[in-house]
Amino acid sequence: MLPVSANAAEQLCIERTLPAPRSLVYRAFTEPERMLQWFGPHGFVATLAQLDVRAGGAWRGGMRGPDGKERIASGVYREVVPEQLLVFTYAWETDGRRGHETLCRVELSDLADGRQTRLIFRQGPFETSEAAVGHQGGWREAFEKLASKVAS
Amino acid sequence: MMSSADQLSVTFAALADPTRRAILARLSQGQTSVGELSKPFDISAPAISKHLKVLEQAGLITRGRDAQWRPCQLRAVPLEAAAEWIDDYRKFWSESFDRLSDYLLLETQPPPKKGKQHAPSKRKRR
Repeated sequence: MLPVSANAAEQLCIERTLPAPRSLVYRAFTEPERMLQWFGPHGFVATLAQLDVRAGGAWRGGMRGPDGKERIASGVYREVVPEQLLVFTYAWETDGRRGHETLCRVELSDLADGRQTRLIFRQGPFETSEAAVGHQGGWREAFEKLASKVAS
Repeated sequence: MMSSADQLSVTFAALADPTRRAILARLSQGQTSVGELSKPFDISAPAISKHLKVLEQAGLITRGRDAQWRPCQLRAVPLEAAAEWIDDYRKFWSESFDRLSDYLLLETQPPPKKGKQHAPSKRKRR
């Protein structure tokens, strides 16, 4: 049961059924004023959503935690298929430096004759590429604080 | 005392090398000697020693104190910290998607009728 394999890549996968048509879910991911309504864990308020939604376009998002501190994450869209697929890189910024970069994949499909949407979210790899190694720093600490504040 | 951020960086640095990952995979089957460990690899004994030193400093393995036969043993605690990283992200997105779901419910609800006292449905469920 040890998490050691030939390539120590790990991936996060979350599936959800969302109570809205695909078009609306897509807009919630791609229109800043909508993204600001939900991005971030409980107790956080989204403060920034700059979304240049096209392959090669950059995005940047921010949220303020219960401790009053703002966290910034950013990345670049790799694939954009309207109302179906978003693939983008994701990294937390700490003191202007980006931490370990992962790739996020948001897949949307119809459920219940289009009244609901199946969301499949994937993120990874959480491994150990040389890129990850170059970024020492406090991002992990920031995230731990974030998680503990939310849990309390 | 190392902060957890530093510890995680050290762990990932140690795991970044395929030879070191192979060594850990071998050690997950049980402790063994340096000689045994170096057999599958086409590299020198000093090179293996260097890898073991990195793994030891990252706290991924421990080595016996016997000068003759210093068996290497896997130590799983730092690896669990790496797994926690994924759990942190799972929590982050799960809660974000909870909020997304609440938001979408509000968006798809018909607007309140005029002249009627509307029960506030804007409160979050959680």
